[in-house]
Amino acid sequence: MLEKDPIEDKFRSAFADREQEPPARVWENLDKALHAGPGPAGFWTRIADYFLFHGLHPVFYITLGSVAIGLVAITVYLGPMRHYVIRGHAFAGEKRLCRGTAELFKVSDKTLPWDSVGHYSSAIIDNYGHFQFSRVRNGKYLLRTSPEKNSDAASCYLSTWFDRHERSDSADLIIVERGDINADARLIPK
Amino acid sequence: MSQEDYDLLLRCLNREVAAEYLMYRRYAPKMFAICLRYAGNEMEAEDILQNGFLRLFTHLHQFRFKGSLEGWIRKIFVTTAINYYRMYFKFRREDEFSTALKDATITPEILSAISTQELLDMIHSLPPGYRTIFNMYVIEEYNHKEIAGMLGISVGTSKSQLHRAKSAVRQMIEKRGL
Repeated sequence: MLEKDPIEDKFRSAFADREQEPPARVWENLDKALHAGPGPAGFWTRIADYFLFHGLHPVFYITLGSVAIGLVAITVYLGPMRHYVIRGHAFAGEKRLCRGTAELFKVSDKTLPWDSVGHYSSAIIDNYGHFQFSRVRNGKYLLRTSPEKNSDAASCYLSTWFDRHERSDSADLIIVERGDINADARLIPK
Repeated sequence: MSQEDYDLLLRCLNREVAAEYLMYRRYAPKMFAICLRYAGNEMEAEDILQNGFLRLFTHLHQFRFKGSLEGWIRKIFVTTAINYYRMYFKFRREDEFSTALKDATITPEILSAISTQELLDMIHSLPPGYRTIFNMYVIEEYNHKEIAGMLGISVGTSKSQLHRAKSAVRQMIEKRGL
């Protein structure tokens, strides 16, 4: 059995039910702190306090927050903010075009196509004929591929609108809706 | 829990100023005595008392109407006092009393001659870390596991700090008895 410590007992008995009146200023300060009108920061603190401590169960707010985050994620993923990729290869005859330029033009739906085409982006066609446009938003586009100036291909092939058209007003539209697009371009011989 | 306490609690939850004052009047003397034990001086005790009541009134809705209201309030004030000193001292090593800690022989006569005010002065003269653990263990009667949990220290640290605190108190009592 543990021996009782007389010093501990002395302290315990001396302070067990001890009371001491605090100075009046403590309540005065407390009253001010408790009942002062909310300032701009205090207002929001009280709003937050209300919702955190006096409102519904915290699980409700966690669920609500999760649903909100989910909705934002779905909107970003499926909505107009989502970006896609248009990629493909350019061909000069049966071979892949060695170096050139691919240009993307955006087509507005509001007017006739030839009045509503605006340059959107350019990409380099590499040595293997590959080109790619990243960060393309939903919409309708025209694609023009051209061989590099003063190259062998330039002497044999024309700048060509997708898909094998000499003029933009007859070109095929590339419609970007919900996914990446693969658009191989074949140049028209001179 | 008495019906009177229950009604007072409900009125405080409705932010009635008169009820808050009544609650303050009912518990302030007991809580101030606790604050005085944990504080280094009276001004700090007033600060802790004020912070404790602010904490009490803003967290009153968390009382589950189970067990003693006074016990719950008491725990709020002990926690407030701990937090008050945690900010300043972080329970770093306090070596003021670490030398010559020999257990002195103290007779019951010496003990009985010491007044409560003298005991309080002895507590005040302890460094904050020792003082806090001494109060929690000896007077609040928390065990070392509980103290370690509340202060974020190890059980071993709690034990060693208590040992040093008690040795320091013994030294002070011995000196007074001479």
